[in-house]
Amino acid sequence: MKYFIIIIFLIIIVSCKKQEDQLVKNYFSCGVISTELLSHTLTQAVVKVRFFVLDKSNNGELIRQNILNNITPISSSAGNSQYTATFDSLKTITTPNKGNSSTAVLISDGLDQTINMEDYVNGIEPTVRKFLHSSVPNNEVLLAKVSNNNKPIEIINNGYTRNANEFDLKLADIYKNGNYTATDTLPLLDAIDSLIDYMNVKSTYSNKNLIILYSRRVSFLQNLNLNTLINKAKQSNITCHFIELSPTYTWENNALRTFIVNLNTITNGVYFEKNLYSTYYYDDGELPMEVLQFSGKLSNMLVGNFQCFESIWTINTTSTFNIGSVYTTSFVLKLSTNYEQKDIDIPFHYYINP
Amino acid sequence: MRKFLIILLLIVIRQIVFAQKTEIGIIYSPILVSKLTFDENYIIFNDYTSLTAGDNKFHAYFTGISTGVFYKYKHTKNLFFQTELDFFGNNFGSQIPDWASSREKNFTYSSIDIPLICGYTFNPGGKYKLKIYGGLNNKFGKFITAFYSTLSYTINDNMNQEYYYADISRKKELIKKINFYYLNIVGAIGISRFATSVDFRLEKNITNLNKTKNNYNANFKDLFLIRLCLCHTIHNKIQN
Repeated sequence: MKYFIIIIFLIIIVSCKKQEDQLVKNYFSCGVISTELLSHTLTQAVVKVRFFVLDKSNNGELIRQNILNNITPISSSAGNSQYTATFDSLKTITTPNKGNSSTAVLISDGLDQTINMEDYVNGIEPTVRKFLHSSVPNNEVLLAKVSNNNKPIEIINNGYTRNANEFDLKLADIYKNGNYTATDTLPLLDAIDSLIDYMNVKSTYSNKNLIILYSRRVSFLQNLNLNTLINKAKQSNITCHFIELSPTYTWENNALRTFIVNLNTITNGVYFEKNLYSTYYYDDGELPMEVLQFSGKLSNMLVGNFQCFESIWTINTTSTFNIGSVYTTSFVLKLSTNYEQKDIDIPFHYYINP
Repeated sequence: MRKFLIILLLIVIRQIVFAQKTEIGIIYSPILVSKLTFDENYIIFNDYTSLTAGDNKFHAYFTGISTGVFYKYKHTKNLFFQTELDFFGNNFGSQIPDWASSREKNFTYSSIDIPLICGYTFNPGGKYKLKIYGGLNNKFGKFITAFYSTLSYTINDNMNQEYYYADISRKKELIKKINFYYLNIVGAIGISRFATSVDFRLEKNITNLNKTKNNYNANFKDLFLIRLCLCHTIHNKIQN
């Protein structure tokens, strides 16, 4: 019996051993802060692209690696037109300070995805929550939900706030109980329209930003003129940012995506595309860390004083550039991570402004 | 002076242990049925994720090596007082419904329990002795035990261990939110034959479970535990 007790106590002592802390793999995020058309002719456009590559192994700051010799342009084609980009220069700059920001995040009622696409959108909820939390208390944030035809927009809680905790439970409720797919796009345009009006009246700061997290509507019915809406955003000095969490080819309706891209490009907003190279074990509770890294820094990008890369691209086309249109080009960055070399696609959109 | 105190302590322990009408034994608790409720519908974690909190149902668990020692003092033939020093597992995995369908996402911790119990034996001379007892259970600590661990890892390209159960941080966060000490009220019924008894204990917290209350997050509300305890007497002064 004595031995039995001794064995039991030994087992207890052994089982009290502390568990090891988890190791998290290295990750990085990249995207475009802004693009600016420097000059253009009918067949040539010179574009200044400010982009970032944030590295976890450098505390989420800009990557230390010299990327000058690791940038490769990509030729693209659209219809019968060929677009060839040439890389002119690269430097590290700090973006101008725009002052504190008033930012609205417009979300839809749920995930906007079919159930089997959960992997692509895993992490929308923490992305929104992290952005809201990392913006306050210096900046004010607002969460709004696209609702229905009778009530196109639902402002969560009391509008702009500096206490992001107020949104925590409501955000969980929306994403846990939201719809996977919706077929109606009517409320979206109405919602953006109403939100711009709301922001114009209620924003404390002139640095106004709008983030639209909305995708995959099956049909795209227009009840408002898209150009009017884009002009309204531009005239209101509202910068619209686009966080694209699911791959372009998964959009059910390209017209909707094009509208958001145009709104984003014309208002000179941040464009971030979730990369497909990263694999996470979502079933084991892992999160898309590069998306969360970006969403934690987005607030700094909106305020300014943000260190990033600035490159100049000359883009030639076999057809002609149309004034008032938005074009897309991308380049490839070769990155050396802790484990392997990776080629990262960075697409950027530019607007041939009148 | 120190030696004197140690000798005094040993004498006191000897007097308690070998006093008349005492029993000493071991307890083993293999099965636990638990229910944990929350005051809000969602738990928000530091990594900005959220989980649905509390399904308000009882769930049964095997608690592994939940064990301890007891000391019983028989005041009269019927009335007894008992105290214990236990290392008991507390399992609440299925109480987080979002985890229930995923594999092995247990929210489990162990605590040192020191119950102070008063009981009544109905038929002290009988073949099967029936007893009821109740009291207070002091719960100390929150140990994450490797024994219950559901942590898994893979070996990556650099031959380093890479843990892919990211949920371990969420489990730890939940455990951190619990008070280091809280008090449960205990009610139990037991039946014994020879030196062994089988008890069913019901416990409910009577003090606050939360270390700090967060108005924008789900806080622990009520805790219910139904524990099967097997007790075996290894030293019985009365029989001697």
